[in-house]
Amino acid sequence: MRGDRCQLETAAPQSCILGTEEAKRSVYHKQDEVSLLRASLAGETEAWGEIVSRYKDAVFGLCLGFLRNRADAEDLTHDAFIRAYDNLRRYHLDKRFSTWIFTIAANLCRNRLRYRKNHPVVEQPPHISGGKDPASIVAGQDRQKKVQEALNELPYAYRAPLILRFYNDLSYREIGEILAIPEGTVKTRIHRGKAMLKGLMEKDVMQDED
Amino acid sequence: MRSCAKWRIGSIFLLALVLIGTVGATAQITLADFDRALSAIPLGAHDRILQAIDLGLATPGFPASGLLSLIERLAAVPAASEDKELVLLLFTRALEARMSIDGLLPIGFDLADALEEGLPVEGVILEAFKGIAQGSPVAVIEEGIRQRLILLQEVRDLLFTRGIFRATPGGSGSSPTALPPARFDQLVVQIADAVSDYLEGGGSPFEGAALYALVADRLRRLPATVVLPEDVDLVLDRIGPADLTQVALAAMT
Amino acid sequence: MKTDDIEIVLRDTLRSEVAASAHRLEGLESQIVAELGDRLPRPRFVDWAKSLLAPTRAGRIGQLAVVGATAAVFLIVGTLVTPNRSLAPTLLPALGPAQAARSSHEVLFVVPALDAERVAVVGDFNAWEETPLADENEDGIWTASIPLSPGRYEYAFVIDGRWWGQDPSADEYVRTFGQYSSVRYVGGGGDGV
Repeated sequence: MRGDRCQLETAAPQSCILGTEEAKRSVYHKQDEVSLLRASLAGETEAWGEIVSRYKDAVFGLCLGFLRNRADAEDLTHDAFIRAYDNLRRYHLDKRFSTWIFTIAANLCRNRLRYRKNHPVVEQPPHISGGKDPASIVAGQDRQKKVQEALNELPYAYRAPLILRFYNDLSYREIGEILAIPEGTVKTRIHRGKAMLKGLMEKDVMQDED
Repeated sequence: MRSCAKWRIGSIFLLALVLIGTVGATAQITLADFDRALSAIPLGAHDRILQAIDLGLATPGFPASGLLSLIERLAAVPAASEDKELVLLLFTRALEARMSIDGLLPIGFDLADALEEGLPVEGVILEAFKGIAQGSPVAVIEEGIRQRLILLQEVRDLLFTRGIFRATPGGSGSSPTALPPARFDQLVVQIADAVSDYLEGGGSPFEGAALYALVADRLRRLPATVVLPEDVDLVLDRIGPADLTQVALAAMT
Repeated sequence: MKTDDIEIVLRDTLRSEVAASAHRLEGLESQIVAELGDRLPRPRFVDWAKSLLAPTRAGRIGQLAVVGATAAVFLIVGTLVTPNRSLAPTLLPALGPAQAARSSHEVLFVVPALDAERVAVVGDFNAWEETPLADENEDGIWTASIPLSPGRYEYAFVIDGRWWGQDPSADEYVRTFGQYSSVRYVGGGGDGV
């Protein structure tokens, strides 16, 4: 049985044969979220696997944005899904699942940052491939590198709402729920965060020109 | 001899099984456990606190063992019992307001840690009372308290690095910049509170001058019975806008 | 760069970062499923259940014995403690700025609230527990006079259950937890009463 995901993962056009694991899991591909969650609650960990595959990019993006460290982001993404599964009975199906899983991930990230005495471990920004034309590649890469460095310098309280807004595309209300701050504060922090980001990037520019 | 002991263990085991069978779910923590734990701390509001816990025990999902651990931790911390009582009253008020205290437990332990470090947390707890009175969600209160605790520590550390110390009680205090504990604590509390309000109100940590002006204004408006003018001068002389920016950033990071 | 451009660049950068690291997430679902195995989501009252699952047989017996003993104590205590013991709420310990015997000022709180049924003030001086205001002559002006030692006090009014944080008579306002509250300086160098 060929699953949609199988086609995406293999570049080869020939048919691919799914192993038993994958075959089992492909049963869940078409299921809606609520059924998957009910199945997970009943102990069908494969159903949870499908939830993981649907949300892992979003959760990883959140963690990477918050922590600015790939290895940590990977760890906490994993932890978030384990913890969410363990606490599934505390999740009320009438609330948005995404808000709930994001809150778990955000709390894990916040706790991880707290226990790092100094600033988060800053690593070289991952190499990002840009557009097609060489000049625009360089310009694009340059600008993205500046954004990444500025993000690393931004205080967590300002960075977190920006990530949730511009990576996870969440509403102010959802961001407030996840970060446990009032909606008005979210708006202020995003507004200020963007200005700070801009300031940090321009500061870097000025330093480059010295 | 050995068989006697075996008999004894065996009969205790049997008794235990019988009791479990008859008493059912009493393997859970009971009000009596809380009563005992609270009695280790001299409390004026013992009854009120216990009554609130009783309310809590009746609600599903009540984190009984977590709260019990917290009470035991508080009992062990070397701090004034009035301060410990305040922490317990925080939970009491939350329970009376029918709030779920799950999210407050981490902050309870943070407060216990802060008490152990000798930080003056009374004002921070009052802030939490305010949050409860306002009907703010527990998560929001927790986050606000967390930030204020960090600020308390940062401000205290800042004063230390600027040569303003908290004289040990009964110490000679010969150095002119070693303040009696009450005076030192008030300075820390007022500065931290001013910075907290500023940040929560949306102020930017990078605007050091605005922060400094705010702190200076607060310190000067306070009556002399709260902070002495000479203490205010001392502090404002030793710290600058950049220092406050650092302190504010630490709370936002 | 305009602030709008920031949003675009930020979005692109974040998406690119995740895309560049996507390979790290490959197989995460399998890994997690394998790790969870036959595990069920945790039940709510996990604590007492866990306590019965000691690792060793001796430990289990020991724990059961303790549990049994606790049960016995509960039985005994339960029969001794009268269920109708009245637990009158005790007064809160005195709160507010730490002063011993300082002269206190009578501070007047005034709220015009014509149709209100219940007006109260909450603040630092009463640990944010309601102190009612009164409207004796029923003219819609509610008042309370509270003795306060010199200091800085944050407060707000609660009018028929609604928070009202911007008292015109306040010396300043603060905004925390998303709502306003008022501040008065009492005594000392400020403009306080």
